[in-house]
Amino acid sequence: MDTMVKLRDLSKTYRRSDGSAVEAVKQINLEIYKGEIFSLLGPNGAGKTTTISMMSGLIAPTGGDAFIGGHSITKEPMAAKRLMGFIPQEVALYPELSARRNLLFFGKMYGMHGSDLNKRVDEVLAFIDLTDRQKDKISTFSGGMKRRVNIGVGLLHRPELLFMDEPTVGIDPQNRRRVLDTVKQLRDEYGMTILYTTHMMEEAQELSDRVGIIDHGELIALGTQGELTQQVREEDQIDFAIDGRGWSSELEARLLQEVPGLTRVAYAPPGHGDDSAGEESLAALTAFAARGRQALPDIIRILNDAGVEVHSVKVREPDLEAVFLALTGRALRD
Amino acid sequence: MRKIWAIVSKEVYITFTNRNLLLIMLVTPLVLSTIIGLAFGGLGGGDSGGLSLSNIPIVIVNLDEGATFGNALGGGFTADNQTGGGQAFNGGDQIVAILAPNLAEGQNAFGASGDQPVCSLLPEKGADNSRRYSGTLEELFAPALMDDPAAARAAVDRGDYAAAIIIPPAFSQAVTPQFQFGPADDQATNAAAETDVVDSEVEVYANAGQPIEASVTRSVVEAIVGQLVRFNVAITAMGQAIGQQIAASPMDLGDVDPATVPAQGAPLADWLAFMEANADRSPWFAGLAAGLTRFQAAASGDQSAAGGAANNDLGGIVSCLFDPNFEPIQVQQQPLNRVQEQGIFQQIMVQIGAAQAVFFALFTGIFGVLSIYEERKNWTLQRLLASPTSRSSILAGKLGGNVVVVWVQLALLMLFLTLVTSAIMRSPVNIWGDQWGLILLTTVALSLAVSGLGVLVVGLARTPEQVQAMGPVIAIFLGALGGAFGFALPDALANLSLITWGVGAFKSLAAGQGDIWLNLAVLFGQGALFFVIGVWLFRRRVEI
Repeated sequence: MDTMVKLRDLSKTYRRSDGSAVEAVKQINLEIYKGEIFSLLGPNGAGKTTTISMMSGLIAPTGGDAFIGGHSITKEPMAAKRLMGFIPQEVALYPELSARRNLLFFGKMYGMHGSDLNKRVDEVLAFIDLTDRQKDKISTFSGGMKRRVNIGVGLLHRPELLFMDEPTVGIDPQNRRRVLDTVKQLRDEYGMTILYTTHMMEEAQELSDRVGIIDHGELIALGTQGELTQQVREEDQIDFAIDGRGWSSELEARLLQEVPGLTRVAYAPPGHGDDSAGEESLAALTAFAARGRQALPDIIRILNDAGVEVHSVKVREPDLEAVFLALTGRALRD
Repeated sequence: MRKIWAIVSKEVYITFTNRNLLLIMLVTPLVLSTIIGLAFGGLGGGDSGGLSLSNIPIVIVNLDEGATFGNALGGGFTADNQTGGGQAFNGGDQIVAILAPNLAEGQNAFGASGDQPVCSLLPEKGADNSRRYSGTLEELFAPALMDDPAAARAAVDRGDYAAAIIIPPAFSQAVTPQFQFGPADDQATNAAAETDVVDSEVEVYANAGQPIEASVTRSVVEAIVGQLVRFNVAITAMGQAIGQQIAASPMDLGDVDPATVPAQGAPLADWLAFMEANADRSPWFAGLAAGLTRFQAAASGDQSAAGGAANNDLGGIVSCLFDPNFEPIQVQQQPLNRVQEQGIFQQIMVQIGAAQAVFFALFTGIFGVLSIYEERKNWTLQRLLASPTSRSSILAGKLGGNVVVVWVQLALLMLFLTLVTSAIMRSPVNIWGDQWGLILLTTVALSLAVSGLGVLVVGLARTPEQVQAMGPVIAIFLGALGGAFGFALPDALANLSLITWGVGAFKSLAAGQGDIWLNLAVLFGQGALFFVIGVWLFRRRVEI
């Protein structure tokens, strides 16, 4: 696989006013391949934006280097920047200008001009579905429309690499869905390499070919989703809401004995378990198995045989949240 | 360069499509200037109630009895047109001829009419070969003549005139050169010098209700009398020196043929020819001949004119002292009169309008630079930095955009001030003068100085909030020093403000003067210095 981005010991240390040092990014090494969506996942303050800022040339690293298409961002910044598009977390547009004027202005900053620029702006406006609002000022746009123009600016010069820094922060589910679909479209239809930073585990899971998990400035895990879950040996979790009147320790022993792959069972009587379903009179039964979906039929059959009524079932497969939890002892959203 | 220009264009577009900003940048200073102009200058600029420095009504009473120049010269020299007995000289007529040329037609210092002695060191001019003192004082004054000093004073008291100029009978006697060739006669010289000073003083009787007009009249009269007195002193000193020298070492005519010595009362040209012809026989002849020739040539600035036939007319030479084409006084009068042609409203619109324009431009300059912080906050700066555009280009575009915005603001304000002044005066007027190149240069210099100050202020501040607090204070401080609020401070303080230098340049240009190089040097110098320091500080504070 061809490498689009290569980070070598990329580091950033800030000096506080009292002279002490803060290591925002600690010697990150990774490679991003051409044509893949690579997600950098981590909680707020983990160092994602600092890393992407160094990669895009916004701030200078205090150690190491980033290579974009083989060009060092510290030594050949202009060559590196020509290959990349940048979509910041904020809506980085001039609200006083129309959508078209914004696109024209930033297109000029990428060296485009004349009829080529105008034609490309028309294409981008069509791509983000804002041709009919192109002459309206950005200040009159909804949040979702602004996000679309924000993405459009990053696509103007047909970059090989696109940096997207938490592009769905603060937008409604409908527009969020639209952004995620656009990201996949850019990879699938245009072969673009995308570096996507997020603290939303679901987005990383949906989009990413590979994921890097970052915490406290350190890259703590790197690989496909499968590789990562395997790495932490996580099990599926099956949550039942049951009528607790038929529950007994004998039943628990029978489940562990007869259901293949079931490793443990936890019972919480009514009022002590997960009340998320809103059924406070029900007991909660949690079962853990290597393959939850395979174990599910046997568990339900045994419960029925024992006269335990099952009201609802939910299977939770191991996810990046669980991986993060396993690696750091903290939830991703903490 | 294309990218820098794109950033500059964007800055200008964003600024001048923001209605609220336009209200502050253009409408407010325009309204303030107009209100102040109307409050202090009245409506219109001529006779409609506002102070006018043109057509000042004056009355002249010329009692001067004149003097005889030939007598003063001891009967040695006479002009060609005189038939002996000396040349009549009337300084009072000279003053009337200057202040009231239309009323004094035919009168001058050397004769009542006809062949007026004119500056003979200058070429003839005019189809009718006539010469008048060609200054523009006739536009400054609306003169009248009277014979009775008491009646003139009464007319001034009634408010008919701003001032009465009363020339006493002994005026010419007092200002006529007093010396004689030959041994010094201390008694005679002292007697002449002791002419009653009071009797020879020109009186300017002023109307207390029109102090500025009276003051202008007094200044002009003092300047004219001063010329006459200087002439008197110079000629007297020269004559006395020569007389004493002759007395100390009497001339030895040697082998000069007595028949070639010009007769008493002969024209000056004859004496000059005689002295040149005998220059090798006596150092006195040589010195006097060379001195006269050099004087003529230097005075005319034209060697060919120095040898002209009419150059030996003493009256003509004296007239040169009052000819605006000969005397440097014209250089001073011309711009003064240009201002005087303007109405007071127009003058105030230049003074206050320019000061207000620069004052409000200061806000634009300071807060324009602050927009870099705004761009960083909105992440557009980061987006620019992530593009293949150098940091220097981004900074140049932002600061260049600020300079252009300030320049456009100044240019628009100057245009609107002109339109408002024209509308109020009900006639099209160009209040800034017609030296377009210098006006452009001044606005550019001001734009640089204002933007430079903006960069410096933003560079000095640690946070945008500090700029928001400091910016208005600095602008108001400089505005007060620079006279933007209608009161003036001592020069030592006022010169600390770039507004002073800018307004000074605009006032000079409006007055028709082009000598604003010091103003331009200060503004350009200040702008460059502030830019360098400001950008250095700014780059330390903001990672750009």
